[in-house]
Amino acid sequence: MKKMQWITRKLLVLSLFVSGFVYADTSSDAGYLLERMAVSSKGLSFQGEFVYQQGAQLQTLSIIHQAKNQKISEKERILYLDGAPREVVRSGNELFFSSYNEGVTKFQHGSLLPVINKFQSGVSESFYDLKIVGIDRVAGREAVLLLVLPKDRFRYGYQLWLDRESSLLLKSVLVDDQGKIIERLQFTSLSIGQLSDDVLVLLNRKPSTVDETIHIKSSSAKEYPEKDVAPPDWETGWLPDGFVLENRSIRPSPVSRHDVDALIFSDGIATFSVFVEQDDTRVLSQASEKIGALSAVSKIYREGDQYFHVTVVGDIPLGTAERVAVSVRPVKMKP
Amino acid sequence: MVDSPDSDQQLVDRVKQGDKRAYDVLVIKYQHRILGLVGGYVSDFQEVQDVTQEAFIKAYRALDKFRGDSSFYTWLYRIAVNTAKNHLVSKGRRLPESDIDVHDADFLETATTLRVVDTPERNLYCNEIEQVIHDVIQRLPDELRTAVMLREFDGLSYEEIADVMDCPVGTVRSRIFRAREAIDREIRPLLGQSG
Amino acid sequence: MSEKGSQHSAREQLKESLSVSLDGQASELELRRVIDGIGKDDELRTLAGRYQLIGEALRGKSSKFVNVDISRGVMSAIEQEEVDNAFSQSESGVGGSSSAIISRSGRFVEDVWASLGKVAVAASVAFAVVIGVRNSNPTPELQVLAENEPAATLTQPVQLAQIGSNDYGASGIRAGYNSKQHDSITPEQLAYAQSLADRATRERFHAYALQHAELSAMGSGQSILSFARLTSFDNQ
Repeated sequence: MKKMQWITRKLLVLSLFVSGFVYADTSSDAGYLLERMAVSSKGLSFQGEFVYQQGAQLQTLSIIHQAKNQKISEKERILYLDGAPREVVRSGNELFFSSYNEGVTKFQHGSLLPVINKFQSGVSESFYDLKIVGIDRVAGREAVLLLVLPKDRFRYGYQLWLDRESSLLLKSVLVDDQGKIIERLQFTSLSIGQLSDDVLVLLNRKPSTVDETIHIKSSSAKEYPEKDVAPPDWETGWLPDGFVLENRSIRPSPVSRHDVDALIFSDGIATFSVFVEQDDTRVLSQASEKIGALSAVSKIYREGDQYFHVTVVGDIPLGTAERVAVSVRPVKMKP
Repeated sequence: MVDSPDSDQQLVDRVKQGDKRAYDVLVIKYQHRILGLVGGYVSDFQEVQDVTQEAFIKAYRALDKFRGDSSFYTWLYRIAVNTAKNHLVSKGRRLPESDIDVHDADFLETATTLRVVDTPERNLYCNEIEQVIHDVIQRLPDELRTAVMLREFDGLSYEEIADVMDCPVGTVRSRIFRAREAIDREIRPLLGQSG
Repeated sequence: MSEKGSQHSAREQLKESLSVSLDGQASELELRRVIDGIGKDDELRTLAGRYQLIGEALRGKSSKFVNVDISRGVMSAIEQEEVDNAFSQSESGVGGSSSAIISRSGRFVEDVWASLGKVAVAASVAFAVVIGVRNSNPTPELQVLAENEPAATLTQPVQLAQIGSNDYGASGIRAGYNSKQHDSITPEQLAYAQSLADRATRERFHAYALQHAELSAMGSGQSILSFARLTSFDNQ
């Protein structure tokens, strides 16, 4: 494990393009930048185009983000510019995912989820080394390069380029424990500041008018307020260090007529979700797959003559996801 | 030597969770000991295998009721004894005077009072393999031999061996593995198996 | 031989994990890999037997039963028993309620699942089965099942052959079916059932990836990475 970590560090450092002098900043400066990044992505209005590369896949996307002000609430729209038209619209406690092929899925939460800073320092510093390395240039803007190095093999590492001025994320590279690059995301153009009127029009266009043939197929996923929900029948027997349960909800399952228990865990940087639902299809399968940056594991448990599906999805190594999935057990069945 | 309860507990838990393959490992682990035990009750070579198989199946079915009060092996042992006795009764044969104690059972295989219908070839096989194993052990570098003997003969845990040999646990692990590999290389052809 | 073991191949590491597991000193992850390996890999299995044998010989307790391996017999008897139990339940079960059961079958966004429920139910009322799923990219078109598609029952594979794994031991398992387990299943039905299960898993992962993207985006206030990652499903 120590050896693998060394490879990761070495490759991360060697693969940098560093111009200017190297910062010898402390970890807390890096942490501060990460927090600033989280604040900016909510509090600034901006629009831009970015590319996402994973394996042989290359996808162009665009984003429009309207920060909350006295007149309007926060709103965001992401468009997939290649292939089948898809988009995401996020507004308040609702999120729409529209797909040309699959229709529109609407997620509606009873209340705003507590915001987990995707890149959150403090907690993370016990499990990652945060390091500012230098200044680079991305999409015509000056960027601070930050390394997020995992301290164990249960999580991945990141190279992050944050806009020097606003700390918005300009470029992100995900690295596994062998030092291999799993995905790259990079802005090709970004403009920060109040959105012009025609951009606002784009932002406010309703999803169902993007293409007349999109039919709304799925119904909304509602989050049940905590007090109405019985304590979970399930627990995870094992979690990697530093991952905390951030939210639990019960929602209609996207794959069956049952409800599914959805738990999301985070260590401040990486996140994974655990979904547990009863089976009624009578056809059960188990699998583990790496799908790009995501690991997906599907396991089955039997309790009496009832079968349950456990699905774990997240940006964590496959072994970690498997280990979590396998550890899920009924609360009453404590060893 | 009975393995520490912890190792079997992990496997037992997994079986209870629905992973049958974990039971496969338990069978592989204990089949020879149970075969030897059953051989103390039943004399026919083939019959011993049948009864042992039945015992393992019974144990699997009863696993829900295993609470971890005793070690898994001890519990399995009791089931095997009962299965063997029931078998004798069903064949109209006499039961032995007293049950074989779990601690004595492990020595049964080599006891000369048993009348086992066996071909000489099997006996020779058995002795030759033992011979080869002891030969290889003698020829091993000291640290490998010590590590594997402390583990197999004295039943020490890796931590304990690390203390005794004044080296890290990782080294203990590696030494035991290499000792086994060295022996395995020699006995593999004798058993007609590939690795 | 280097003590650090940094030159060890994955195979060597697995063998070492086996050695450690039999001593009861393995981590949960190692133990899982070993259990995985023993189920799929004959050579690992016989190696486990030999390691046991070595231990017993060193303790001076070698066995006349050295060449005996009843483990396969035990495992297939266990599986056969479960199949038999399940089918005897279904036969004595209520034939007249089959329509009620069909209407309770699981529904899914795609048409496939509606038929899937019926197919599985037609095969066996009381019996649920686990199979291993191929880790490959099957053809993207989904066939809508006709009402009279053959019923398929899947039983737990007796022999699994390993295709491609990474060092975590996570791999797609190609199910090898023992057709003796139930006479009325043809290889075609088994293959068909397996492809259904492959699709089921693929759809499951796709659907839950979206759920996860939504959860992490709503929770962190940052959607970019979460939703960009969904494009990895594009070539599936």
